[in-house]
Amino acid sequence: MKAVRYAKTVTVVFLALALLAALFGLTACGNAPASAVKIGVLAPLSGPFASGGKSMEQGLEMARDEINARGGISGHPVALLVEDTQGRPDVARNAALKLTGQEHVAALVGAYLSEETNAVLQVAVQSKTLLIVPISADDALTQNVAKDYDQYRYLFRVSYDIDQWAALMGDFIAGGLKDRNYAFVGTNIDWNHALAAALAGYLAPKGVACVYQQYYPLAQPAYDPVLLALQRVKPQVVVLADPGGGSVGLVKAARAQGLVIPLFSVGGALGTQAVAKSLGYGGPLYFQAAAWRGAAPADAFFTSYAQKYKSPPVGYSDVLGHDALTVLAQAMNQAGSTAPDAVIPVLEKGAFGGVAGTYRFDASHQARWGTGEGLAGVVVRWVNGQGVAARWR
Amino acid sequence: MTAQLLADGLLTGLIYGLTALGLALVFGVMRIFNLAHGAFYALGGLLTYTLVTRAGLDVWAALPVVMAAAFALGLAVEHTLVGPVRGHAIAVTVLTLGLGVGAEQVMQALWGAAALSLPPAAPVLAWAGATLDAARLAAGACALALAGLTALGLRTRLGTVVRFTAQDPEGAQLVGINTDRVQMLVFGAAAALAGAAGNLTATWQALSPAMGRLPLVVSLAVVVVGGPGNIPATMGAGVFLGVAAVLSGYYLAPGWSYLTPLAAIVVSLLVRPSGWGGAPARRD
Repeated sequence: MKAVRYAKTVTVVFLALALLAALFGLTACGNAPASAVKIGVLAPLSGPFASGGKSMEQGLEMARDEINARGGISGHPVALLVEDTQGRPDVARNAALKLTGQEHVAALVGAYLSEETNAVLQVAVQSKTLLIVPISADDALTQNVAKDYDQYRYLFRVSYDIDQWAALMGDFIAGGLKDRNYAFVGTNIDWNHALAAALAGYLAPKGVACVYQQYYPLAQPAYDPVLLALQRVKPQVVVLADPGGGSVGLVKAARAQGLVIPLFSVGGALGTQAVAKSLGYGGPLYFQAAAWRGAAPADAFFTSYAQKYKSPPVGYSDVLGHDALTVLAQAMNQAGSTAPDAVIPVLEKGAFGGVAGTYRFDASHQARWGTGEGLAGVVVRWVNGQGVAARWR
Repeated sequence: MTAQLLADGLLTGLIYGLTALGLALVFGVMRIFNLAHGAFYALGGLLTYTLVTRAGLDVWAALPVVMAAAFALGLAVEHTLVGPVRGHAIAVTVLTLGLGVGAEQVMQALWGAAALSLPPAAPVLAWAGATLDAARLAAGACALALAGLTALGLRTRLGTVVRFTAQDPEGAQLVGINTDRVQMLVFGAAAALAGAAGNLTATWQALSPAMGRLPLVVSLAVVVVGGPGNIPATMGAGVFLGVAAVLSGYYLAPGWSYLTPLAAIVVSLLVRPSGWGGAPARRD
């Protein structure tokens, strides 16, 4: 009797949870009109990277609406088929298989983590589907194209890779802040080790030395020991390589320890205005963004985004998600086709406008970011809860 | 520097202890590991966020509201889901693990996936070479007070019933104690304590549905080290692990702050499986 009662209870609870999930839109693919150009989106919408995945999805939705308002792709509306990758390569791969094998999408946009995108890339290559990468920064992704063009030509990356990221941040440290030393602190993940090495390699010839480098575990961000070491070393600026919520905890702990050293975040959670307003940190706080208010396309995007989603964008995953689809749609329209073999030459030779600037791709299909390129990125400083572009160039 | 390290470790440890207290109580009385414990902690943090930003309460005023809500939810979860399988340890473990995962999804649907943050609740104080957030100091004091109240509660008439149920549930039933109700109350109280820990830490960390994962791991370590059902030992183990995490993180490497609780679990299970705070409450 008790077991029957329990089975009934469990059934009711799971039905309620399923209903909740459906109500809050946790189910993935929606129905696309038959004539629509279907674009598969792979983003972590649950798990520890859900925040970035969600803003990437919202940026893509903004781009879809803009493209459809302008007539779509060759007269057909764009439909996004979104799959939650959970931040896991195996889930991302299965989702890509579903999108290419069952949904027959015209292209894939994603994923978020480099590990996920690596798994998706193999599916894109096998199915000969275009893969536009909006976020993942691992240099190896586009190096595949340089090494084996015939196989990997389907991949294009709009975001900055690790070397470019290091150059963008390094230029600001050496040129904008005119600092001669810095500390590098972040979560203990491969990506951060690669960024630290690239930044040190970029800044050393400019006479800027890394005086302290430390990583805290993602699972247990131990801020106090790191901050005490920073108090002892006293670097001129601290590069904070943690795009997640851990960076928020670190800045709060820094306040509690009375630190006022300039902090320079790679972006992510510290690019959120509501978060920035709550920190109460006494020192200058900067972060690297792909775009920020101050230029015409960015201003329009930031205003529309804030109106639609009731909070301003962070200037990274949302901007790059938007631009990934915008670039793809422009290339498909110029090619007059969605077929990869028609679109790839257009992407390779063309210039495409986006919120962050003008996208051009190099021989490895990497967007050209950096000083003197169409994509310069922006360093933003929080002043009284308002993000101000630090224009030093 | 040493004063700062010790102060950070002590305050961290008191919160570790408070977070683990509910888990220790549930294990001591019900002999089950509630792997959804971290979800109540996350709920405490997120509910505090809503009460502060939407209802205009300050963090401290939100504490009793959060505890009441977590208590009510704990009662409901125990009554509808855990209670019917309470006698099957593996079933409870799997069930509470699933509940924890499901609760994260529901919280994400309600609060979103983005990291949330509350402004500082108190100024920073400098004393004896150490700099401390007054809110963290108050949270440590609050954790001690809640642990003391729980210990005192176990000495009341109801507390005696709880202790009797923990020591000999069959005997308690024979003398007319409704052990189902006692265990439900203990589960609710544990949820309230976890919610309180989420509230007390809400101003110095990012708030998200996944914020309960780490406290669950640390709580397991505290319970294993301190021994189940022993409140002073739980708080003592929390402080020991907090200080050890901060010292090892500073003198060795920050990664050790996470390895320390895990190492403590292994060492305790090998050397003293019943915990260092004395023998656990006996069931027979």
